[in-house]
Amino acid sequence: MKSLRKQGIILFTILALVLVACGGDAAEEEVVEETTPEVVETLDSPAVTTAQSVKTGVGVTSDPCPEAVGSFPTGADPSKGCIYLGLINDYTGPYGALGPALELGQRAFWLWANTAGGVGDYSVTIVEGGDAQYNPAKHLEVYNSQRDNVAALAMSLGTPQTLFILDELDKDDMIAAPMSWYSGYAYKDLDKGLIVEFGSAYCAQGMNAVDWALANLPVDIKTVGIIGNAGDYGGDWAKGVAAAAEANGITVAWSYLPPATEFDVAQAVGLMVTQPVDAYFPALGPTAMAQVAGGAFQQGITPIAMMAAPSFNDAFVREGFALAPLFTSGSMYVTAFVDPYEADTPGHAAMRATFDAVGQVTGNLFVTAGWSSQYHLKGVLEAAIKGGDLTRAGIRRAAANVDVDSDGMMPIKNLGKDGAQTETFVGVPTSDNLSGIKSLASKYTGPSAAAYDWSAGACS
Amino acid sequence: MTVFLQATVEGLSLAAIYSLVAIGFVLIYKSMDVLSFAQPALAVVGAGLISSLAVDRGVPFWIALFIGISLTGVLGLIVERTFLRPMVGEPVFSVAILTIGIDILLRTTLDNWIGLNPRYMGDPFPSFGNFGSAQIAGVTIKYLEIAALATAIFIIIALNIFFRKSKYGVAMRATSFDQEAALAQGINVGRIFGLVWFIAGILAAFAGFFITGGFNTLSQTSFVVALRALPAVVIGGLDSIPGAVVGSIIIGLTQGYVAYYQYDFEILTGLTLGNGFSLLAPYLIMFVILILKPDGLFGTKEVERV
Repeated sequence: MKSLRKQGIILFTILALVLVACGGDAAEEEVVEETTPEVVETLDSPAVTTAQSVKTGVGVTSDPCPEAVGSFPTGADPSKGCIYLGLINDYTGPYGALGPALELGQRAFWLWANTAGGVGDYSVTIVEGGDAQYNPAKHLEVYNSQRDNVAALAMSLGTPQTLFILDELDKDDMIAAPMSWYSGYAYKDLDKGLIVEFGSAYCAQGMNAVDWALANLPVDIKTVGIIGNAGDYGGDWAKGVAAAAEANGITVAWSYLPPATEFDVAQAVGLMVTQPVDAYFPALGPTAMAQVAGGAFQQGITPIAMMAAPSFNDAFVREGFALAPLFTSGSMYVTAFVDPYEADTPGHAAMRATFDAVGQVTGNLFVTAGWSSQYHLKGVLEAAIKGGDLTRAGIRRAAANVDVDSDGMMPIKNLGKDGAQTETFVGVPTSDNLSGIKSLASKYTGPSAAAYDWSAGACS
Repeated sequence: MTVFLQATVEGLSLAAIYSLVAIGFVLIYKSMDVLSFAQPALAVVGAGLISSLAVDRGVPFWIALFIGISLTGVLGLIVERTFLRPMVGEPVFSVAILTIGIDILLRTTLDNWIGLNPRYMGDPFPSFGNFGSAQIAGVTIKYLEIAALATAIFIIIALNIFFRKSKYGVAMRATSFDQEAALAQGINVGRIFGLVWFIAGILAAFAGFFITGGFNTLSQTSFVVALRALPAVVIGGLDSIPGAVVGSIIIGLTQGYVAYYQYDFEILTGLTLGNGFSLLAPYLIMFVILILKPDGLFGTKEVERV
């Protein structure tokens, strides 16, 4: 008879190893050394702009797009062809809660874009999303299930996951809109010119968070702490905070950057209690953020908090949430890659009108992220059509040298030029609007980010 | 000294939560010889039920707490009747794998309900004192943690009395000791299995509430806290309730002290233990204890005929 206890211990050990393995490590982030060939011809050269017919490839059909995907309308024009976009989303796993909101923003964008005329002679639709569970292997699995049917990816969620499939994207000439703000996406030697980034990089946001706090808050900030999830946004953010702190002569008293699965609230609170700082810069998930801020506050520790966008959730300021008074006390601030839902730009106005039209009452940052992520992709598709080549290779070539606009949501960006976008939103939590954030600074670039040598490469 | 006391309080409150989960593990293991990986899922489902009743449906919190915990117990019973009863006689390894499947099923269903925003329990603890805490001799004590500690102590005493004095408690002990002999004595072993899962569900729901109560909130990752009780079970011995409690105290205090002293230790020694060490330290202790006592501190030694 076998030992039942030993079987239990073996099972437990396997489970523990799986959990540890899922944690990852910032230091393990893959850095791809390969480079793509330099593109010499520009889209504005006469040879391109005079193209009379459009060559098409995988994921582009002369048949119209479906009227709806799932229950969401596509707004497709039945007289036009269709460009299909893939979607590698998370519906389960640590970011599973965000997936539906991101997708809602993306589908709403193309509903609006298709209704407004589409892209050339085409409407655009996103296929049914696949659940990657924030797992690189699953990410590849979902990609494999979509790669033969789509012209580009409307979303590849997560930095480590996207870098994991980068070689496959390279083989297929498949460009992708990311859903993370890793500074490396702005450099061809790291993203092979395949990632159509949007919004300011975490690293730049971290720098701007420091600079803005120093310039605008009536607190003498001499020491800071950094809390984040390594392997995700925390690493890039921490580099930015540390760089700006150094530039401003501020001491980084401590950094607590474990992987998300190994994050210990007690230790984060313990650090804040035993090593008090004037301000801290968290890049966490919302649950951990509330526990850390609340736990420290209970012990009388209330430094300034400059939160990275994923740390904040509009539920923090809604009636019934115990810590709402803390989040709206004026000691906590939010930075973000793009202005929130209520911002006064044509792009934001189109987003609000579309959501009103489809009856969606939501305005959190992730819906806005989903919507804004598609603008640059649209610009690339338009450029490819303008260049007469809507094959994946043509789309990739278009992405290598094009200025993309977002109706004022973000600054105009040249995707072919190396260098992360720096313009950052800064706001303060409020219960007065849908996003839960009141704007204090739009498209802010502080002296540290402005002086930083972005040509030198990614922050992390 | 204040920091030491604060770390101790934090550690003990973690220990209380871990012990509630750990006792559930042990109860099931003792009666069915199976390590149930569904306990963390039952914990967060219990929290979800409480939140749904108290926040979404406006049921007064204390009633919602009672109903939510009771329903989680019933859910444990249903899980046993539907999934595990047909597995009687099958290899324990298969049954353990099945509990992983149950864990995934329950959590996926719950995750769909939780959605984007963290959910709160609607409990009154955060409104007491300073956002749910009070200062005593410079040490911050959270009311939710006091409640967790008191609940754990109460449940441990109640279970002790139940096992010694009640008919079903004695029947559970007999079943745990020898199922066939218990059957021969007229004990309805199937009913005992159901009762075990019912109690384990109740314990899990209590733990779920204390993990997510106050501003901790319920999210799709809350179950991870319950999983951290696993080393406690191994340290204490898989078949020992006192062992589960002692293991939980060891794990909780280790986590608390490392959380508050790691940084000072690193400065003092020049050594770097790394981020996340407070969660790793309990596993190191577990390995040391397993080397010294392979059956855990209080586990029953197994004798195998070769």
